[in-house]
Amino acid sequence: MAGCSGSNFSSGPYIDVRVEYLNECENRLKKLFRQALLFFLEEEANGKPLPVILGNGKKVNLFKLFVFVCEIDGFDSVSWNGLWELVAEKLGLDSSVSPTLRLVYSKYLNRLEKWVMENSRKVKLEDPVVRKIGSYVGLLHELGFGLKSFLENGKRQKRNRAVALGCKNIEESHHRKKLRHDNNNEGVGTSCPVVSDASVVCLEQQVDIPEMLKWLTSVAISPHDPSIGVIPHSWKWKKFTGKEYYIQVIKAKNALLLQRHNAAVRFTYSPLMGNLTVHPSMYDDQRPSLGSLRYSTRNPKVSKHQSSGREVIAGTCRATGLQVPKQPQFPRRNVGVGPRYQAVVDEWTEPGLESDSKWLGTRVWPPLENNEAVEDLVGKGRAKSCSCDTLISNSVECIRFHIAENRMELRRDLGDVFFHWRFNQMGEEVSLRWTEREEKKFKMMMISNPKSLWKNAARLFRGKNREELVHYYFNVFLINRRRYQNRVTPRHIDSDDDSESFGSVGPSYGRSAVTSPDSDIMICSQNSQCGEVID
Amino acid sequence: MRSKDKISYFYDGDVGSVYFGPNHPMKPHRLCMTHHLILAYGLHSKMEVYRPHKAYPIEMAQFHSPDYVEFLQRINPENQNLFPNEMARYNLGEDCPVFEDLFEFCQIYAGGTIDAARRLNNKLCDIAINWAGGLHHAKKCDASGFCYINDLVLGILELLKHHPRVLYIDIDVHHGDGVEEAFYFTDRVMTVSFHKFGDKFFPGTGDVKEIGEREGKFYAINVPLKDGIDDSSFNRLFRTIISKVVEIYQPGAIVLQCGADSLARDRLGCFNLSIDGHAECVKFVKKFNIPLLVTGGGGYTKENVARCWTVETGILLDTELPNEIPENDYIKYFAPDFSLKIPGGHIENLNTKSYISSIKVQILENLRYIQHAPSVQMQEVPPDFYIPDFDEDEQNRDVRVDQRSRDKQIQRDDEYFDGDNDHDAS
Repeated sequence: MAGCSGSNFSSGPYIDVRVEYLNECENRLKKLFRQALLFFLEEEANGKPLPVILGNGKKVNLFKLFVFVCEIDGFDSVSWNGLWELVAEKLGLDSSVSPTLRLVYSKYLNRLEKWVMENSRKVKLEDPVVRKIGSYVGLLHELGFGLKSFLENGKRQKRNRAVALGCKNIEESHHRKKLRHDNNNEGVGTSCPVVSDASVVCLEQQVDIPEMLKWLTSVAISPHDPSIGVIPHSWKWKKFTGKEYYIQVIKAKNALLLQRHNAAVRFTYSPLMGNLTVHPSMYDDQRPSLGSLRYSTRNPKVSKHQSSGREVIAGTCRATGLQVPKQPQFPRRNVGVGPRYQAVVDEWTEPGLESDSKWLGTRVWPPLENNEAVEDLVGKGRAKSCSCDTLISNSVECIRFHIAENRMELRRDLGDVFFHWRFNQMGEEVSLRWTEREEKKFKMMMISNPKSLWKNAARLFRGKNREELVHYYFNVFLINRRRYQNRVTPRHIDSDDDSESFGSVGPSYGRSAVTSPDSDIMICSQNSQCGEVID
Repeated sequence: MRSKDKISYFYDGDVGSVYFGPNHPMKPHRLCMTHHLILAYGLHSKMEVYRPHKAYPIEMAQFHSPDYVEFLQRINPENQNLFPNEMARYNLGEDCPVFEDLFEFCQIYAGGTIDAARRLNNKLCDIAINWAGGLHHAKKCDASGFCYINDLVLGILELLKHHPRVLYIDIDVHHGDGVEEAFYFTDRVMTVSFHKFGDKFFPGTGDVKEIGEREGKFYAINVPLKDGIDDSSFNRLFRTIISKVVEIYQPGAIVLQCGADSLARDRLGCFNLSIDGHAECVKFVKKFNIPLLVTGGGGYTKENVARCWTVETGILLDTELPNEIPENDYIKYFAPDFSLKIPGGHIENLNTKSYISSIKVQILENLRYIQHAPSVQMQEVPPDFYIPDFDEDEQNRDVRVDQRSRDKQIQRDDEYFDGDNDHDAS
């Protein structure tokens, strides 16, 4: 693309070039933006649909929205100054949709903006002349730079390369522009060659690295071999853009440094770490290692011993061979890492004096007026022999009687709490509220098609809400099933297995509860459903 | 042994009507049965029973992502077909079905654990019990293993406001993955889980090598076991590990998840523990006299769950319960013997002695690494200089003084002569 000048925009012939350059930048920026946005949305995984359509059916151009808001210094400043209507107008929309716009921005773009701002803090565009261009290119640069480090994190190689390509082209033009200004290589400048180098490394990753490594190994083995040729002094290395092996080595080394720098940056920023700002190198030395650590302890020395080939090999191998140098040796489980998985645990501080007395639960027992503990009832089991008449002792009636007796006593003891704890909905008495027809229907449905019973409960059992059905199921139906199993199939007791077929013993509860024990005690009814009888 | 512990017990009557659906193993009705049995034994007169407040979504969002909580609020059986994507993303639908009053159920059990933690923080009780809680599989952004909201994490976060270190012990037969993952990178919570591991048993994590990472390295302990472990081996292992952990870590509070599916004859579990063996763990942890939060968890054979948790409530109240179950509405469930304790199981024990000892050795080895690097001061700093008092007049003059003692000798201030020239009359 045509080279563009840095500061001379007043003269005519340059205007077209400028427009062309702007368009191209814009397209590239749009592409990057879309990729970044997709990435963020995927990360958040909230299923927000794209494209965004407003209530009146109009589409929202997220890219334009993002750029406009960023030009006005971000979401917070726009909201604070009430400028959403202005933004809406700029987008060509009705100003009444400004609250919707705000919502859309906060849901889709806020996070992207925050992340871009974080990264852009390191790259400050100071040249006021290129403010207009700068806002685009600067944004581009920020986006690209940030995207680069961000996407590496995501281990998406294809995307990496595409972005790197985009980055590289943009940065090269930017780089050329900056060189004309003869800036020193601080600030923006330094990041450029490094980024472009890194992208070069990325690009050429699959192609030149093995040869370079071979060359490096040969250098390390015999440094004085005349075939290597003269490698210029280290202070000249940055200016070269040739394809010599040593250039590639330097670029690889710089790429490593960049990654390490990014990793450090990431650590201080990452919300996972909460408020900790511990540099990752802190983890290297002090912990005894069971497996290998994240970063080899030799790595920090790479920058110091620039002429030492070996360390660079180690660094390069790790960087290029593994793509993402983060594999510890011991078996790594699939623990989710990051803010989507871990709880946020703050540093320990002395507790404050707030008392949350209202969220401590409401006392139900013992009731507030009565604080004395009643000791005699505690821990009593079933009596060995009951006081019933020997005729009916230990029979079904006897048990039923004692159950009712205990229930009465509990009712007396608890008072109102008896109802709070829903004891009135427990026990076989629940069936007293059901007619025989309803009970039969329930049983038939359970045998044939239990799922549809629960789905269509409201329709099938008018006048009974779901709660009552559940209570009936657990308190009467399952008890009956257990009763059958206890008697007929004692070795095969499982009240939880819904698929079990079952029969019934004796009539349903209602009738016998009402008759007095003097009359016919047991009415034998032929058990027509009995499957097997095991003795 | 201090005087009687004050126990707070949390229960809400509405859990009894929660129904996961036909053929689903998790049945909250077991909580109803447990409560009923506890009352039948009259244990309610020895403790304070509270109804928990229903946890607010904002409290749940202390750990979970707000979108997930919001979705749980909105979803119900009628409209679940409209959100297939979200259902898949949050892992709802099969193991974690959407049923009527799902969110209310989550509010009840989460509120119980949070309230329990708060009562412990405010020192209003020594032990707090919430049998409805203990759903340890729930993750930050999705449901898992019949668990929707991880009340244990919420409770621990609450406890962390008042204690620098919290210990989490999990004796459910499944690995406590939700809690471990939430606190995998921090050393303020140490998670210890005893569970079955291998044969693709749910959830598939929990190998002994998983020990945490970064600052949380060595602060997660996993005890993977095989089928059929019995009382004696389990208790021996438990006592060894937990006593070492408490000694080294010195937690300010302990959270104990008592999943009852590690009992014998559980529908989904595969251990051989009897109720005595299970309750022995509770007894052991109570002995440390550290503020304790006890929750329920798994348990898919209703009557055994009720028995187990009733016995454990009795233990926490220092009450020995008789074995005959008093007559109550659910007595039929306890046939044929109507007894409280159940014997251990008889499936083959695949845990050989060598396997158990190798696990133990690895874990104790890992524990040694944290003796020297606590992130928060554990002991009082001893005074800088400590020189024992040495009075040379009290020494036995007939015995030659060895070099070390001589080095320690400091001349007294009122000594007039230097060195050995002190020939005063005395």
